[in-house]
Amino acid sequence: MLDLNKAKKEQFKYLGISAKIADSIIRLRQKHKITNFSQLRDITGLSISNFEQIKRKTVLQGDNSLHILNVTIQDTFVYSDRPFKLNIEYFNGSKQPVALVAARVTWAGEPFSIEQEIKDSHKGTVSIEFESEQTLPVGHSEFSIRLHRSDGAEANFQKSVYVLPSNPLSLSLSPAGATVTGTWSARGTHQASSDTYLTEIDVIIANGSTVTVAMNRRTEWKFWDGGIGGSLVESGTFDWNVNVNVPINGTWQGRIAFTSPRGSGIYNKYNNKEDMTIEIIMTAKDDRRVSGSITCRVMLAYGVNIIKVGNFDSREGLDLYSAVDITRQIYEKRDITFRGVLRWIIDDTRAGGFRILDSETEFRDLLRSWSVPNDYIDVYVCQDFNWSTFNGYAGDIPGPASKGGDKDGVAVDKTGYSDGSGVKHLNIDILSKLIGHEVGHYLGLPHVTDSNNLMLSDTSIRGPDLTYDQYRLMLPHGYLVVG
Amino acid sequence: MDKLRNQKNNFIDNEPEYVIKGGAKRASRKIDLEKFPAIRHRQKVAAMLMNNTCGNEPSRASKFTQEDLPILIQIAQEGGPYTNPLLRKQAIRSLRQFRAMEVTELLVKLCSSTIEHDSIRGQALISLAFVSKTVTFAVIQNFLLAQDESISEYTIAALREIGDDDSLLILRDLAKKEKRINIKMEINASILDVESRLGIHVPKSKVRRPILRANSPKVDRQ
Repeated sequence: MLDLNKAKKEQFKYLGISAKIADSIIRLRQKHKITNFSQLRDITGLSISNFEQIKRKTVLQGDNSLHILNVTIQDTFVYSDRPFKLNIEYFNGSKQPVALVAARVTWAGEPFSIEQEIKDSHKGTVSIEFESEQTLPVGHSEFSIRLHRSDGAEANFQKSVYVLPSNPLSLSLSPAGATVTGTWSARGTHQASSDTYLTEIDVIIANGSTVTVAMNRRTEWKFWDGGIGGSLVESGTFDWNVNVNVPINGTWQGRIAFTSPRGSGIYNKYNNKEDMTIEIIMTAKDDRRVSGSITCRVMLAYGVNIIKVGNFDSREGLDLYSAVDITRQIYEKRDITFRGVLRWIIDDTRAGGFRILDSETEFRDLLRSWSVPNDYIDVYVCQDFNWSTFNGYAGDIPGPASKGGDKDGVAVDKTGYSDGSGVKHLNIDILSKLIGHEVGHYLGLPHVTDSNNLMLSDTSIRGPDLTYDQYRLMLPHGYLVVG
Repeated sequence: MDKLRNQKNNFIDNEPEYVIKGGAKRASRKIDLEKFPAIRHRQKVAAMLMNNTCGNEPSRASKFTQEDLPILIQIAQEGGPYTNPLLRKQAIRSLRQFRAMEVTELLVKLCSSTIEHDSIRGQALISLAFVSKTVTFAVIQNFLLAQDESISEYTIAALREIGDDDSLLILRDLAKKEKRINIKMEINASILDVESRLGIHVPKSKVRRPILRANSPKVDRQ
């Protein structure tokens, strides 16, 4: 969002506005403050689409809205174990002052919050200080920023940060494809066609220095039983097929896939459901040595049929599968993964009234009318719920481990919204937990009252946590198999 | 605990736990929110809106007071990528509890806005049906026979919510003109629903939408 009365000339190009039109707008606001979009109508050459873009992506004093315009890191980067500051730039169109700023930090450990009063709200900026007690380790962190105005208005912003090493070089491992924080495990998956186990991990090397670090391609790997230094299961080396250069204040990422045939040490461990520790060791050209480790194990797994009910815009489709990927990561933190995500659609012409669910009767009719004949959980993602205050429903707790009848699936609201450009999106964060919550019911979980837990009834403040007791409760479900 | 887990599923988990440098906890820094009554009020209203939003518990729709109205209007207007669209929809839905000019104006603005997502527009239209029948009839003139399936469906839902002789006439008229089979079925189901509520036609069993046929969805290639 841009403040139309303060936006710089070069910022107008992001709205698709030509330099000539931008000059006209700036001249207009020099004469008198723009208080209404209709004042722009007299500008020669301003097309309807330009006007629409300005209306969508700019704000005016007096429109009563509150927006966070940008969040930046003071000193550009966050370094491990060092205090840092976040600068928040905002627009307040009301005379009511902005009173409070809060940041919730999601990182590898337990989430924490910083709340701070705003004394001088007319500045349009505020800094949140993370002191020595709130420093972060190397890795990915998410900052959920919330501004509160004294009349109750709110504005939100999400900022992702990769905390760089202050040492200044580090190596970390994560399950392949994972993008959230957390201490989850890599997974060994059995490949029936080749009778092998496949283990895929991502390697991230972070460089906190002001020179590019060149790494040797040769990489050492070890599978340990009982932790590093315990009993060595297998080890070896390989060479990356590209040059490994870690940019200044940046990260380099690569993926390793281990294929372990029957009879190998790794195969035998996996087959006995034993976990192992993978250690990866690399050296820089200047001989600095970095290493990282991660636990790997076979996991219990279930599959999901993601069924769009009605047509989705292209961006909505991408957001849906991003949300499903995060649902997988939520379950992987509790050692349950997806053995597959199959994509289905009941298009507009066939979905009829099921696009918008109005009642339990309609939900049951949906389950009776449609089904995917496999042993995956059917997840219907509907355009909307117009059914009491609900936005998700499970066929039963637990749901059946077979198809047929009116209990064999779950349904969720797709959580749609339009961005400033009018592009339709889904709220990935909310949707990932909504799907995870309803699938949790299907696997046998009831509601709980812990606000960080996935099974909290309230969709707004629900967290991603699953407890060990909940893990045990899901174990007997027939759709959960060793994957 | 691990022992119990091993008994349950025979997994052998003997690797050391991942240790985060500096520990897994960081100190939060909180301030007393009681000093900010409006912010507290907002939190209370938001909790009421999202209370019991999962259908696997009985519905407990919250009752809001006139004091809550400014906050509800505020939440109903807050859109964008970092807001919760479900909270916003619940706020729009809750506005149907109020007969006020500012509510009518906001709902008309939201359901008519092409900037808003279909589901926001649709919920605003259905809420408008509860707040003002006359205004709803005026607004839906633009939506009748809309090409967009969502808007058609929300329009039918709004007419069904009004559920009087006038809306029945419009629904019957729509049924004659509508060419799309699925929308036509939705209109017919709504006509039966309204007729049964008006006592014109009392079906032997509860009115239900016709089931198309037991079927498998198509593979999504998007």
